[in-house]
Amino acid sequence: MPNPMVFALVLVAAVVLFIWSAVRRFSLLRVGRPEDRFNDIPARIRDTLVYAFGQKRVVRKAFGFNHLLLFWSFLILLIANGEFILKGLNPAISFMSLPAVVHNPIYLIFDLVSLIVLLCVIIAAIRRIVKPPFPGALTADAYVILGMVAALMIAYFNLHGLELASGEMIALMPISSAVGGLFYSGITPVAAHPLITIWWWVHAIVLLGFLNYLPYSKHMHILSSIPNIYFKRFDHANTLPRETFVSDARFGVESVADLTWKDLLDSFSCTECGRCQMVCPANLTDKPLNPRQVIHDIKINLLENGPAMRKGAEPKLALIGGGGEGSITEDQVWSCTSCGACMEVCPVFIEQMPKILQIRRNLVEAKADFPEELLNLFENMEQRSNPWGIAPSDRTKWCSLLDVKPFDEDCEYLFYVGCAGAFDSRNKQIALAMAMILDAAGISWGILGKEEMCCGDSARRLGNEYLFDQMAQANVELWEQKGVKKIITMCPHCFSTLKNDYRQYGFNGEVISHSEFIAELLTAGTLKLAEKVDLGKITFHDSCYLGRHNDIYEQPRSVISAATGRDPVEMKRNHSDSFCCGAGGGRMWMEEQLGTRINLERVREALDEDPDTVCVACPYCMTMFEDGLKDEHREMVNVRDIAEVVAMALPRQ
Amino acid sequence: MATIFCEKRRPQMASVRPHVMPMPCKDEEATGQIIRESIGMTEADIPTKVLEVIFDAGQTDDQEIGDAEFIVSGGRGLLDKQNFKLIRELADELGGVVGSSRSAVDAGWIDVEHQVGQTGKTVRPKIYIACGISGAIQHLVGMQDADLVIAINRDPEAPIFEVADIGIVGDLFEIVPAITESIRRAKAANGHQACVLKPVQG
Repeated sequence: MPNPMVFALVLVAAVVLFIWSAVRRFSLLRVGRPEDRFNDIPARIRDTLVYAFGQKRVVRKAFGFNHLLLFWSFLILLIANGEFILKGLNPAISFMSLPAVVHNPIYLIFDLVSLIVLLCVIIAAIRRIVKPPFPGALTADAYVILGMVAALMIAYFNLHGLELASGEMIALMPISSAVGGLFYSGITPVAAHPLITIWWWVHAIVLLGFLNYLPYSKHMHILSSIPNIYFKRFDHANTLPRETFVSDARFGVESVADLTWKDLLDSFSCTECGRCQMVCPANLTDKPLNPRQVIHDIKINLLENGPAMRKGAEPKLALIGGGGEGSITEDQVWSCTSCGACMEVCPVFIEQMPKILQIRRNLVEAKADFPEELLNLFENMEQRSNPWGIAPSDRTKWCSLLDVKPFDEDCEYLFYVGCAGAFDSRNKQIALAMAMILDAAGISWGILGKEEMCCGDSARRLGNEYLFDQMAQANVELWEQKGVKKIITMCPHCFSTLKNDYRQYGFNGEVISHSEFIAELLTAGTLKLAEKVDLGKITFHDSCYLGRHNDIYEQPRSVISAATGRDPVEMKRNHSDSFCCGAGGGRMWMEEQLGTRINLERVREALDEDPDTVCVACPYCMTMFEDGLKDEHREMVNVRDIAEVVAMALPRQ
Repeated sequence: MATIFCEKRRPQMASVRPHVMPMPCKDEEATGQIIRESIGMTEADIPTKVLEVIFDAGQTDDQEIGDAEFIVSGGRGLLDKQNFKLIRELADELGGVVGSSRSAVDAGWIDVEHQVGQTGKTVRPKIYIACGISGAIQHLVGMQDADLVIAINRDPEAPIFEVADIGIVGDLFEIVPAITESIRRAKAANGHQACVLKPVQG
């Protein structure tokens, strides 16, 4: 056994060094802006128990079970290592001093758990070679940590094997006993003693080394991810905060100082598992964006610039720029479809997407630097309040043959048609279908007609917050004037914007997606269908802004089932795992020049199910699917909005 | 043409681009007062100076589609890159330029400089002939201000026909060469004097 005095000195030195490193790192969070994540402590504790200690998201992937085992083993071995350290300071302190009925199970558990840990790290090491989670996962950092943990377990078994074999310790420790029997059988206490001391020190040095290595590696997540989960958002990150437009204001994110402390904590919490990049539509179609890399670059940038920035210096390494380690390129920033898949899978609730959109704000508002095709879009939205720049008087053309009532105070619902429904010839048919459904259900509804304005979704996701701000204010003002209380939308982008973003502008009316509304009408029996529509085999594509951003998954499916009499078949990726059509986040209005096409990836996935009809619940998805099917020369497969399917099932007038 | 909204305000105003209306005969009887305002500003007063006009590289032998009077555009309906030569022949015969829809550019059949539409160029030619273009809204907003739109498409439901002045439902592989040929013949008959296709008003 070691000299307690010597160990005390080593321990104090190691702990002081660790605290210094950890404080130095965590103090960099103060570079970020303030953000209130301190409300509702009971709910935060509950979520921490579920997601940190229960590892709910970690185990969504099969291999996550390995991590769950490691996590809980580490917690148990924290107790074992506590005993180890105290015993090193004072040999009298030991679980051995407890009665055998207590200490026997304790040592048995420690012994078995140590074996589990050893097996888990071996499996993890092999996996990284045989089937790495993503290319590039084979890093030295990963192996250093796996090696350290393995060394710790090996030292543990040798130490106790020696103690058991020499008779210095009597305990029920089958693994340690086996190691002792194998290597140290019949060893005398005198011969064992120096070996015990050596293994004890190996264990101590690796343990304290591990502790001090943590703050400098991606495994800092051991320290940061539990707080990161504690401080997570309760709602979906489907909006961005408002900006104030005053002179000298900073817009969006240009440097790490423009991020909040929680954004920076996110960067410390990433352990580079790569789950976000494996679901990212941009990454999977060979575009430069990789959400894991974005978070990593934020961390590297903070480490590089943070210490000087805390003293008031300007950052040396630009956050947006060349794309070397610690900087993010503009191509990465513009590749995001804002589909939210990255945030949905992150086990520690890192919010990748809002950071990317905040960088867009800086590019658009502070630097006027954006892909040229967006100039047209922004002008059209600003001047004509629609993305195509079509005359607002054309907004009612879709219903020129119908008797649609302009919204007035007698109307219960405003049907907010949206730009796609009003102007796009294919999507006008959805607006028509909605009108038929609303009338068939006897709903009191009206439209704003040429007074309707664009919701501004694309402007906000593309970072033109000034434009969005004007549009949102104008809309909310108009609805207040008109007495709008309940809004039905047919576009999930309008829906999410009106429902979530417009809250920031004081709009408190009810916003209902057509998926929800039709499903409710059918359930309540208000809407009666005459016949089942035969559309052959149907598969349903989840829209990101309906599903992941607003948790609406079952309603559109139930609508399809009710109208056709059969459930839609699921694509390989469905519900919260659904794959974006490629048009979100303003990508609808941009060229897709990098990598392969996102919509084709999704269309091929749909075609794997050999459907006769692809059902969608979003005008953007409609366009992307129709285009993709043409490119794949599969025009025979129909694309239908759920409203069209229902309209076909209505009783003939 | 620009759409200007002044529903609830007076005075009303209107503006037109050059060439969008036929020149009427001079009416000596017409009355009305034209007020010429002198704004007392010379070019020297404008802070922005035009130093030099530089054309994009890659457009040396192609007329810029933004300024063209005749545009013949091809889309996905052409089915293959080499079929663009049908479009090129017709454009050459008319003294016009070749345009395209986004999907033809995406398919790699033609350079992006030829793309007409939301993310390409907005054009206002006298005649726009859309061949095998279904007319997605992104394309329509780039060409709907043409004086005369002729659309050739197999699908009678194609939205391009909503903006077309002349719609031809049929196989572009028969129709386009036939038009080219008849122009060629007409030109030969007229001794290359005039183009048979004149902008039709109304």
